[in-house]
Amino acid sequence: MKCNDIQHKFTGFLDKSLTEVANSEIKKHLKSCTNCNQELEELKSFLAVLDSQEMETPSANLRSNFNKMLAQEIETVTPKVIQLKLQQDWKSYLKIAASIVIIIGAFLFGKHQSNIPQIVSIKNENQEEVLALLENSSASKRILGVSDAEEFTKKDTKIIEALINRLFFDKNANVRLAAAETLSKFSSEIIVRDALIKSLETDENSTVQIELIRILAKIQEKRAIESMQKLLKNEETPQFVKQQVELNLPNLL
Amino acid sequence: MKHLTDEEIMLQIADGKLDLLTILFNRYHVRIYNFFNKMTHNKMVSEDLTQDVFLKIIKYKASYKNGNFAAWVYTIARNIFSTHYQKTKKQRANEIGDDLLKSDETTVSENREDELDHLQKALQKLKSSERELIVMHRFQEIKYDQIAQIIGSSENAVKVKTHRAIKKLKEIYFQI
Repeated sequence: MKCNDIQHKFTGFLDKSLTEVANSEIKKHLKSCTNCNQELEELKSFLAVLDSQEMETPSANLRSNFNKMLAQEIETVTPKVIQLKLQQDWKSYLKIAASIVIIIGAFLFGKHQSNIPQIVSIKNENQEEVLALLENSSASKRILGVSDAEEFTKKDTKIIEALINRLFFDKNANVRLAAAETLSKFSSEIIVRDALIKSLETDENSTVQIELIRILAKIQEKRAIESMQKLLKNEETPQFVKQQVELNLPNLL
Repeated sequence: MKHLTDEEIMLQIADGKLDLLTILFNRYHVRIYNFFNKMTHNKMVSEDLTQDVFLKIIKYKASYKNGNFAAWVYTIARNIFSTHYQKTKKQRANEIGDDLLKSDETTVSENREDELDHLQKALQKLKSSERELIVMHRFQEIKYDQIAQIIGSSENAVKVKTHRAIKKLKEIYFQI
């Protein structure tokens, strides 16, 4: 065997990860070759240096930043759970309400009285209720209002305007996040699209930014390209937000 | 909870129990931080990238499919490093030019006093794909078959490449 082939197996030889045959071949060769002996000694001492490397301890910042990040992630997940439960309750409640309306309606129809004005007024009451929720001082109530707003159609401009208001001005990032999610369902409206772009330019919360980038890419809003590129250039933009932009930008180009 | 395996914990995280991530953070953050630190030779950046790994674990928890957790986490770490590497490529080219000059000066004056520092400099002269193999195999003590799984290669190819990388590093180490 040539020296080169032997030397190729040296790391395995030192690791003791070779077959017995290969092992004895190397031992045999080493007895007669000074060159390879020298090479092996060099490698041994070098590996000793390599293996003397110890793990470094990161600064305390890493743990505290991790804790912050985790708390934030848990917080953004929790409202969604509440929202689902409430929605279910609301739906079953609606079912009962609907059957009552039908029974009463049938009864009243039997009496030749129209129930149409009543239905309209129920809808108006609902709208008032959601609008009131959206202005509530408790953040979780406002999130509830935002998720209830999903049930409305794009004709309810008052609701859409109230949602945009939340997206722009709510102090709580989770409310803004929920507002962005709900608004994405009304993305056929031009004022909604404008609002989403505008908010990507102004919102400084990275979680909200990530959601907005995702939504704008999904609804194929090409006018957002410019603001996304601005985010990429900005040195203060966190790494993971930039990654989100890089992930989604190609879908728009 | 402490007696659970990484895989059992990760499945629960994927199921929505995000707070359990703290246990995996305790088990892995030092190793991952050291992986990045060896790759980038920059403590601040390494802390940021380590944080990114744990953020990605949350974001992509649904894609975890009960495989070896360490292999999965190193795959994420590698992707994050490669994104970082691509982004800073231009900037790096300039820095490395400077490094070369500096390291030559210091070797003469310090007379190889600081072995570790010297090794770190030699390590930075390797290609990142070679550096990665040495970091994973020698410093992080990951087995060849697992490295093969992480980088998507065969065990034999990993053995050969690692050996070549060590040989190259040794030559650089004794040259500079």
